Order: sequence, then structure tokens, then C-alpha cells
Amino acid sequence: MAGKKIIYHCYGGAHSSVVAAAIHLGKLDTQRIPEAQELLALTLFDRQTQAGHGQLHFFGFDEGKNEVYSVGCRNVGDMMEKFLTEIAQILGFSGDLFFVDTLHCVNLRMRIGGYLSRRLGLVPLGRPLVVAGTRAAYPRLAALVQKVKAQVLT
Amino acid sequence: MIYLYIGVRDLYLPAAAAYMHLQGRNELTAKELLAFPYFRPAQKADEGRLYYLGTDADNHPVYIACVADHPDVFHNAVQSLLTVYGLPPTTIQVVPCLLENLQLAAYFRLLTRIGLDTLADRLGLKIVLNRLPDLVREGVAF
Repeated sequence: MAGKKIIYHCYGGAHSSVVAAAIHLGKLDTQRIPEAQELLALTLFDRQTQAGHGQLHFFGFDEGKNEVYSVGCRNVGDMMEKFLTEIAQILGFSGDLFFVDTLHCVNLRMRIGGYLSRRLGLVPLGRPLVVAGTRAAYPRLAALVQKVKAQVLT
Repeated sequence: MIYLYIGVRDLYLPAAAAYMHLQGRNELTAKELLAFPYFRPAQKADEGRLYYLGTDADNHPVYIACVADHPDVFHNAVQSLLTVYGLPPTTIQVVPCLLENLQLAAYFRLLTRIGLDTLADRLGLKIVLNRLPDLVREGVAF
């Protein structure tokens, strides 16, 4: 299954999908919850804007030479999977995309913090909340990525 | 180039625009539209799916699709995917065909659900015939 494009997607493409992509590429340790600074050092973490929704952000190659991306799909993630899969098919790249929805790992703190920071622009208020939420959700995200890697790299 | 006409919770408008494109005409009659197979209310199962309608006079494939919301996000995603594959952004031209009032899409669906498909088609036809000149003016349809 080598050479796939693994696309982690969530609502805004600013938190859970970014962290999942970083875990996938080994930039964050699966066994240890990262510090706030480590999360904030990720290029897109809590930085994505609404205009960037739908844009695939390339993070790098994993050990199986798969390309890892993150994308914000708002509330149409499932539909986006279907849509882009069909687009890839008509372009002649059938079976090339592997979508992973990270939205189910998102907790209330991440939702509220993300809304305050990304939607309302209240970064000083939202960012600490979303960081705390991400740290709390980290074990679930790490487990999800491990499951994906087991599936993709075997 | 691939043409992709996108409607939001609606297939009437993208189907009519695509049909005009394929026919190479700016005007369509009610009879023609009603006879067109994709001129129908969009169902949940249609959302996110692409339907191939044929090739135009220049041999460009024409598709229609229906999404539940945020056509801008789908447009971004298509452009982004083309970049990922190293293809020029003109490979797919996404043409949004949006109803002026999105509530109408819910009416189409409701009418179909209660078995009044003909009424849904008639309402769809009225809206399409009303909206098509705008789309032609905006250069959306051909």
C-alpha cells in the first residue's frame, strides 16, 4: 500500500488533523503528551484561517513513502472524502487517497477554544483552552494514528 | 479541461447549466429540461457524488455534483488536489450553480419524500428558468 496520500481531516484543519499528521511523521512522541510549546511549534497549529479550508497541507513523507496531509473540511468531511475520491478517479489516480477523520477525537475544550481563537479571533482566550484540550485528547489522537499506520504500512 | 457544475443540495440548476453547456445553447425549453435524466431533486445519497453527463463540442468532459454545504471548500479542495498531483489548475473548472434561496432545496426534498415528484420537478423547472438567465449573464453556463 506504499505511495498513498494520507489525508487527516477535521473541522478547521487547525488542531486535531495537524497534531495527527505530526504524530504520524514522528514529530510528536506517541508515548508522551507534548508540552504546549511543542504543539505551538507545529506550523499550522491554531493558525489555519477559514479561507484555507479545503486546502491540502503537505506535512511530509512517512517511513512507507506515503505523503501525509492535513485539511479542514468544516462539517462536510465525509462528503469531502467521497468527492475527492471521485475527483482522483476521473484524474486517473484511483485508490490513491486515504482519508482519516480526526474530528471524533476532539473534545469540548478544543471545540470552544478553537471557536474562540479561529472563528472569533480571540486568540489569547482560545489558544490556552485549545492547547489544554489537545493535550487531553492526545492519547486518543496517538491511538488513532497508530491504527492508521498499522493499516497503511502493512 | 473537465467541467464540473456544483449545486448545493440541488441538482436542478447544475443539471440545467451542464445540459446547456453540452447543447451549446443559452436557452432551453421546459420540455427539454424535464426530459433530461439528471433534472431531478437531489437526495442525501447524491451529496458528494459526481455524475458524468457527456463531452461537449470540444471533447471536454462535463460532470455535475451536489454538495450539502460550503461549495467554496469543495472548490478549494479540487484546486488543491490538482496542485498535489502536479496538474494545472485549469484541468478542472468548478462552476458553482447556487440557488438564490437554499430553503428551496429542502422543499424539493420534502416534496419527493411525500411522493410529489412531479410537483418538485415543476418547482425546480420554475426556479431554473428564472435563474438560468442570471447564470448565462454571469458566464457560468454557456
